[in-house]
Amino acid sequence: MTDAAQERSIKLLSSDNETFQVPRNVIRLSNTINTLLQDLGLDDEEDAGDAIPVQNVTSTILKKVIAWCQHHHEDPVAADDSDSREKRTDDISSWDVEFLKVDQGTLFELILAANYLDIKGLLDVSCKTVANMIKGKSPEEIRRTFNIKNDFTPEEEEQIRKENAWCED
Amino acid sequence: MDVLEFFSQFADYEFEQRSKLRRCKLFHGWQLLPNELKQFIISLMSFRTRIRLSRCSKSDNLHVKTVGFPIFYICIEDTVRIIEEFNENEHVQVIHLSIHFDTVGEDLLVLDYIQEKGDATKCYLLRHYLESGEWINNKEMKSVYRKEDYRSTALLDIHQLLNQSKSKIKELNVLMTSFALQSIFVNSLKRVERFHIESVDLQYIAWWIEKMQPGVLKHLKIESSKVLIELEDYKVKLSADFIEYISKQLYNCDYIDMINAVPMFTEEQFLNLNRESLFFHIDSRSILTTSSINKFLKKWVRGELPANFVELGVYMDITSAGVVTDILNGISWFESWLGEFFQREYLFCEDFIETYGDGIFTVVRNRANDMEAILRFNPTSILFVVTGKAYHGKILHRVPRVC
Repeated sequence: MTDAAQERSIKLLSSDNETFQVPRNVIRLSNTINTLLQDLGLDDEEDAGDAIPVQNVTSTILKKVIAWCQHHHEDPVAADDSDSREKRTDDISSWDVEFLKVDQGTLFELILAANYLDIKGLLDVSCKTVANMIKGKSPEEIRRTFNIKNDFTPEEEEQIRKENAWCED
Repeated sequence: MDVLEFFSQFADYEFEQRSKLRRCKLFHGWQLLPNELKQFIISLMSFRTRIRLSRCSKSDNLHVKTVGFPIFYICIEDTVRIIEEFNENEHVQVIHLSIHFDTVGEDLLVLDYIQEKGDATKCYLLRHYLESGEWINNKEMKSVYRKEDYRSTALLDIHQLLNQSKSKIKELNVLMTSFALQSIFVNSLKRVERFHIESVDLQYIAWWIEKMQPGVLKHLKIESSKVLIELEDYKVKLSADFIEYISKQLYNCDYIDMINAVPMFTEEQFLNLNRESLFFHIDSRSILTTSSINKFLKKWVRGELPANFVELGVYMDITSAGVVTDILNGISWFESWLGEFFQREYLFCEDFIETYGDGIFTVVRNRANDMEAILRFNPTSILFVVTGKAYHGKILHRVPRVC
């Protein structure tokens, strides 16, 4: 990407037809948008033309996604080494913790948007937030938190209890 | 392909999911997440949380099983000790099983299978979870009771553990376990990347070595049980034949600690056994002499030891006349320092709170790369440690310079 390309803006169109002007350098965190611009040969053009439709993301969520990218676009690029990546959930920055203090609906929509737009950092922190939401909860409390229906038969429950007898507290 | 076509390739499924999210009166976000996202979130959960989630619904159970759980470290020990939570005044037979589910030791499960004294059919299970660095203990230990002998119970549980985790086992540490307990790991050996043995039972060591792929054994510790350690001077002789028998594995070990063994190394074997860390005994039965140690040190001074070499410890009587002179023969050393370090700990730190213990210290320099090493003599051992490099997460420091 040339310097000129980095300085320009990209227009994104939410599913509810709201247009957002986003600096190219900020939206570079989205691999989906990067791939799109590269595949369509639009990355080096000064005027990218029409707004890019982000059909799966509402304006409310897209606004939050852009805010997240705005805050993180200068972060150093993390090495993509999924095997050795430490699976810990207590390393969310205080800014992200505050940012993700949202209702469950918004949180899950953010996860879907981060997945769809392929923004790894946002996907990581939002998924870690969900993992943290159920830490320390009993199965019944988890069901209540996520509105999960217990569809086990008594026999199946007994079987699972046996399987986990060694580690269940 | 235009912009709309590009997005339509992968838009349909998620668009449908999001529409469902909007339509639901009750929030069903978790259930409507795509499977790969659910599984990614599960992979971020602690072991205890995963197990609890697996009990919520059939689909969650399936996802947790699909993801499995990583095992970074298993340590098993069959021993006799006091378990404070059980009976603080009495030694009990216990199988201690420690399983780490992460690399930093903040997500782990410790199980103590305790045998009731005088009743082979009663055993108790004491379970401790460490989740995000916080200990969670089972409160009513005596309620976790099974009408089986403690070994059978442990065996059954280890079997479940190995079945439920599909991942590689980064490290397996077996400490003087019984035959039955060690056998259960045999089928999982292909999954083990690093293996530690601690025992003085040569048959036991040979039994394991026979079953391991070459190169898997990274840490060999020939150490007697706590009871035997109390008997002074307990040292097992490792014959030349035994060393030959285990040599293929031995030459791949990073860490060899023969704290209770006198190996019959030939000088050639010793000089080529330049691993990261090597400790052993020399006594009247040994083939090696002070001259052999001198040759080893000269190899380091010439820069002929591998870069990962860190420490050599030899337990021997150095009070006899000429021992120190023989070891230092032809090696230029400087800054002898009579330390009064009272804490006999593992590493030097910058504030010197942790030390190697007291003794006479000298500093030796590597001619090839200018690195330094400390050579410490005390009446019962010689310790040679390369300083200025990171080892086990700490920087090894030299002794203070003499003013």
